[in-house]
Amino acid sequence: MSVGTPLPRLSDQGPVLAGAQVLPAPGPLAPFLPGSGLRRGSLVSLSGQGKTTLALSLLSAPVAQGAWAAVVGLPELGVEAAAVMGVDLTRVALVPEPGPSWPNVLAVLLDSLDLVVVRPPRRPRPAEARRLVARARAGRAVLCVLGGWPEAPDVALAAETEAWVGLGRGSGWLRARRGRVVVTGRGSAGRPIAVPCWLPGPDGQLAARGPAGMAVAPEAPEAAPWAG
Amino acid sequence: MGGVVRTLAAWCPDWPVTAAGFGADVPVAVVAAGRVVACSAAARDAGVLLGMRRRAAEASCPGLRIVRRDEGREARAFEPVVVAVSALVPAVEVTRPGLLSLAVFGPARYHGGEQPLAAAVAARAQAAVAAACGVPEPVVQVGIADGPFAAGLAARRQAVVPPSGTAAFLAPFPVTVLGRPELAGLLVRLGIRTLGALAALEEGPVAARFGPEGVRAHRLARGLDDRPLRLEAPPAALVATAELDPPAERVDVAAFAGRRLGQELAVQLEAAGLACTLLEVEIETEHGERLVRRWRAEVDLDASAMGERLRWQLEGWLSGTAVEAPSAGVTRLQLRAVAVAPAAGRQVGFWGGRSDADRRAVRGLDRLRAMLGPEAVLTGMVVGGRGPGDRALLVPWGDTRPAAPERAPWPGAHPVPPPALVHRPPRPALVTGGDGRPVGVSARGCLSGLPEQVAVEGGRPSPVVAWAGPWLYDERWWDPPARRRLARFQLVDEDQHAYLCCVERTRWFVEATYD
Repeated sequence: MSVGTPLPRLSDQGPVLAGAQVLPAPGPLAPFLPGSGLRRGSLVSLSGQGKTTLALSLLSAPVAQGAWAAVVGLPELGVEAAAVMGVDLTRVALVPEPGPSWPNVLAVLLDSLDLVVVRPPRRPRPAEARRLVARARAGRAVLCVLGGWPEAPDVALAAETEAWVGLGRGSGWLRARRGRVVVTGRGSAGRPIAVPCWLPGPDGQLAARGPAGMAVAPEAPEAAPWAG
Repeated sequence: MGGVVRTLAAWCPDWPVTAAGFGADVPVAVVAAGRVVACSAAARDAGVLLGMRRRAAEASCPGLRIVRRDEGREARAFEPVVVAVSALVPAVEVTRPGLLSLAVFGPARYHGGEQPLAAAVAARAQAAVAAACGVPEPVVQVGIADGPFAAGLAARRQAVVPPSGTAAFLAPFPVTVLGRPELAGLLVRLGIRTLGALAALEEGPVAARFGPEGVRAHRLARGLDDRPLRLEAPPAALVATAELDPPAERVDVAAFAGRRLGQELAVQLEAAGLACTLLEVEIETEHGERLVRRWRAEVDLDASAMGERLRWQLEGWLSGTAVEAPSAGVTRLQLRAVAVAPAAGRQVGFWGGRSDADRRAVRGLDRLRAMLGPEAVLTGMVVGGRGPGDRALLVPWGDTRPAAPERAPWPGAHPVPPPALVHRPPRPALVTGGDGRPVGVSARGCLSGLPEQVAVEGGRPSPVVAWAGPWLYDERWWDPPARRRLARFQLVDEDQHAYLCCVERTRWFVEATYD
């Protein structure tokens, strides 16, 4: 599939995304994505340990620029983690228990919103999956799937955890996770690229992790600020 | 207390369990969509919690019997109980299968006072439950107070609250008993935790800050009826009727024909700006029999809730076990709003609707809300609280959204970054020390051993590579029934799975996962 030609940079587009073909992606990942963002009408798969944090990071930039999003089938979503990630929660609908008719729920959301994150309650049948992807394309929404999906995605993002830092044996607290995101595209972008990043960093947001590393989380533990 | 009706409530605890034919001493959990929706006292003692996953419940209570939820069965089994109590006292209203209420005034004089009436109702209901469900010595609790809301709570305590003593009786209850989670969340955040604290506020400011919903809660908290009396009788006949031709003999056929009635009545109510608080279900048969039953709302009845009451009632009347089964097919179904209140209303304009994209989104979400019901589509907000679950408030999409909280420091809240997954309810876990025994925490925060292994929901134990804690919490110490003392830990296992755990006595739970 192809979705238009590369577009002007997002910073030129002003606050409303309605006309844009590409939704903005988190800074560290954007250079490695086709079109430097999430193309409308595309299917994005999220996997690996850390995929929920990754999913939240994908929401924040589009929603901040006026997009509408929904998270479906994730009753345990950490609302506070989303807020700390910078997600404007007033523009995110949560459908924690979509029920047996979840494909229909998804279809309605793909028709009307810009970005839909879903953890399907079961693996969809190929015909169902095709129908939903077609719906996303027609509604110009991005469908992000956590978990099994029978079709090959346009972009696959796999989170990998190397180690949590900040926690000792009986001391400190979880401050950041050192990890990477492996980006695999389709066609010309088919070669997997591993992007080292903090997932999340000590401020709760996705952050780039250059070769020099980032000044984060002295492994020497301190007293936790909230204890006592 | 002018105008508040003395009300008796009879409550069968854990009705879904009793309706399935089990007593309180058998460990039973009633499950819907993989989650526990009700359990027996024996199962509760073994650590089964409502909302738990089926597998987790089975892990925490060996020998647990699992029963699939059947709302039709619950309604069918309750109908004989309603009939039995109706034979004693007329004008019985059903709140939901397992809870009924009735006005006390006349009957109490006839039976020689409120206590004898309560005893008579309890005995009658108990016998009916035993016969209908085949459970020996079922529990039926009866309470009397001013108004149905207070009576329901009195039944939980098996208390006869003296007239005009209702406000004092209600004062210590937490605001969550109002059954309005979003309002309760907001009140708790403002430090108004009990009905007494809510009742102590003045009505004017309550109306200004919380709107009609708040005024109704405020009236309930003061032991008044939840609606102004002049609205007791609807201004116009609010009725939806369906004629059935051919007559329906079976529940499913009648229920199918009645599907649209709830919707029709809801449309009429909405046009009048009203919400139904007491619903009358009536059927007529070929032989001219008329059966009527009243259903009282705990919160306002919307279209789907009214349709559900109708279906439940049809189950009660038309199924094979019915006591008062009609002798012929049903020719007419009718729903009538007997009592109404001003609708709490939906704040239009929240979430704007400025651009086309906004309007499209709002339309789509409204459609979804109509498809799935008002509780299914939510928006989240962060509020003050200590536990990970306390810090999120989920508000139905389209409802009044409480004002955004200031970012005030909350002592004892867990630190940034917050966990990406918060388990509701917490997942049972086992954290063991070097000796293979569960790690315990003393009241002073001393550990019985260092955490060495963690197993989540009966899974494979994994070595703990890093941990911190215990952070001690004494939550709601001012409210003995809700008081919890617990200790929290952060744990990272060998595979770099990071958890926020809590231990209460020696019972461990994973409250959240840093995914």
